[in-house]
Amino acid sequence: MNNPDDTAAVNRLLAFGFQPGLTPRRNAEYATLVDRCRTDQDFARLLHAAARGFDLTVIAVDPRAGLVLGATAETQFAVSVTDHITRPADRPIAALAHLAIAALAYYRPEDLDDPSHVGRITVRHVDEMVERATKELERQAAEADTDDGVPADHPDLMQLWRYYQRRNPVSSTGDDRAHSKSRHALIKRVAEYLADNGMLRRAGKENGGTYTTTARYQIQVRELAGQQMLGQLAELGITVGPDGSPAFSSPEITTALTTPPPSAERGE
Amino acid sequence: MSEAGPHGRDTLGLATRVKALAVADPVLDLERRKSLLASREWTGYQMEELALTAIDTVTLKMDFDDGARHEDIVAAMARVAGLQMPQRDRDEHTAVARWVLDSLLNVGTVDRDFSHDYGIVLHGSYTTQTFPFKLLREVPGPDGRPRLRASNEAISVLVGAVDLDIASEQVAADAKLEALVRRGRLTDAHRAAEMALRRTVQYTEHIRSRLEGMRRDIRSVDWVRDVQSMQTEALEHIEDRINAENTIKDNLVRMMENSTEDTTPAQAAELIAILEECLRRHASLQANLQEVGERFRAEQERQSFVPPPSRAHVALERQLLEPALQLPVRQAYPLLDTFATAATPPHRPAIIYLPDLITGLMTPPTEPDGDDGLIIEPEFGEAPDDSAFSDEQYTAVTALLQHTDTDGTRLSELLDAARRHGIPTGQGNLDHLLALHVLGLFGAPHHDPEHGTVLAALADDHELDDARFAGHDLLVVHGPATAIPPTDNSLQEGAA
Repeated sequence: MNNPDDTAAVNRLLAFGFQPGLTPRRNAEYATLVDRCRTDQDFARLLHAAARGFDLTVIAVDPRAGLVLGATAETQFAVSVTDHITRPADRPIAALAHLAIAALAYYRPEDLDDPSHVGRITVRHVDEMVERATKELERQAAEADTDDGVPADHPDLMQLWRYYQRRNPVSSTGDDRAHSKSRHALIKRVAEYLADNGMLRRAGKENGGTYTTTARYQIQVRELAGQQMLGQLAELGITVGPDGSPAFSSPEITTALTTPPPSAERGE
Repeated sequence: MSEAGPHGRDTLGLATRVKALAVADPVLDLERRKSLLASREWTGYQMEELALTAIDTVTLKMDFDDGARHEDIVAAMARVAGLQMPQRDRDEHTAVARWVLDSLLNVGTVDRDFSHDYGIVLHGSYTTQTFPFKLLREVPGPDGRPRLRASNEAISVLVGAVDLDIASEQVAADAKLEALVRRGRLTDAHRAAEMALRRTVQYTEHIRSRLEGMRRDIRSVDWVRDVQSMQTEALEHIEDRINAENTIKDNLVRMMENSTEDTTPAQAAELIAILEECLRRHASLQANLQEVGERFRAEQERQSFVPPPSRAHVALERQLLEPALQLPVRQAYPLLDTFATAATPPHRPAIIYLPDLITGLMTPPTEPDGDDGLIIEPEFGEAPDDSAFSDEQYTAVTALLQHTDTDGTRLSELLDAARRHGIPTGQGNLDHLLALHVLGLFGAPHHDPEHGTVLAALADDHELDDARFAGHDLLVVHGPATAIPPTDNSLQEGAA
């Protein structure tokens, strides 16, 4: 079991896993190792152990996607929005774009399940989808007649949808280039980042940029990102059924969060 | 400050009124700031008028689904600037117009919006709130370039009312217009007519935003309760408006015909133009409303008749995106950040290695990445296919080949004959076409099924002695199919 050759092979596989653009189809050695991992129990166990040493989780060893590794925020190898978006004011929008891209790519929950599904997104449609959701929330807010202000001393208590809506989808610049702070530009930047990391494939320039998803992206969203965030929302007491109906009385919680009494805020 | 009820309701309407005042501020601020523009002598311009022109033009130019283009707005403002300061040149008028438009868009801030602080009493204590607003929104047009739409706040400022029932306001505007027209006060009627037009635009906006709500989520509306009643109500309203406006128009036409004064017909014509614009907008809104049922069904199909998920997986939009949007930024950002982390592959951390650092410091800064750059799609013009040879040349070559018989004619003789036609030799000329034809006959003999004859080129061991072409001196034979010996295709003839 403790064969140095096996250890070398396992680490070689891990190294392949760190190259997100690489798939077993493009590299015969990678394909052999993935295959071995699927047939050789001991080898798979060794791989999991080695990954654990790096604080990484082996999400899947897939013949199409290769070794899919997941990182948690504590991991040294984890990537955060902070790393690729420099302006703090842009980060919430960019982080939202990450989620929105996944939501559009796998619009129906069963799309996540279907290994043959290839999601197709465009920058413009991602923005339109979020815009649609914000408009709906705006309408609900208008119907509930809630005050649309934001506490002046706590600008970060503004609801995310309002924050998103305040940004222009596109903005004019003097020289006809896209405005770097506009929503479209930020979504594009996130999509390009995902494309550079082997999660999306560039498929054209229509509608501000068109991308298709890769098997790796599907696995990571399905197995890790979606579930993790669902859990975190549940921790906040927000649970929504897949049909969009609130499972519990979540609206009360959200309104309480948006306008907390000032005294409670000081404690933080 | 204002007294707010348990739900944050503003009973005295102070907050509402403060907000209404706040919206006027960016417009007034232009006037204050113009003298601070040190290098420019722009104090002579009335900036508020220009700003209102801009909002006005955007409001009138925006359609049911498209906005106004920047250039049009700047042009409209520059015209007004030209009226204000005719002694200055056009460039300055445009520069002033651009400055006003940029100020209205609040270019230079991250969000491009304005904000104003106000207070409400919540749970017994006074809290300061920020009211963010926009005057002009930039939205993507059909071609992806920015278009302008006036915000609801801006329309309210322009028309001078907040939170009104737009439909009844519109009725009032038309009634006022009619009264003025009936009494022949056309100067006043002009203003009233413009007011009626603005109300029309506002009503269209109102309906548009309500219809959009339906399109977003079919479950948020009830067809019988919300949509159908809205549709009926709006259609009835529009029908009334169209009738009322047509009556006013008829009155005006009559007035124009019976008028004795000089000024009346011109004024009446202007009014009719405005009314026609109102009617045009009503007609387009009516057309849109009539499609509502169809759109509703299409949306229903798209949104509702989706089979339920087979396994309990996360519905990303409903279960994650929508709840996240409702959270304050402070809470939502960490959640979204973890999502982003989990949805991206792990990365090897960049480790600073001193030699790399020095190289890094020495390399010149990279150019801004081309992602945001302007991409110019090349336009391909329609290029006609020029034929290398003219029809006469084809006829001439066919005629030459017709003269061959069963004994055959050498290619060299044919070339000589072709050159004797008096056309200069060279690329794209008769000898060239002939050589190509003969070469074609060598590869694929031309069968004539009608006469049972074959036109073919045969290769024997004669070398072609020619200034332009090299290879075998092919023998062109024209005769009965059986008389032609099979060609030996291993031989090649080359054309220079």
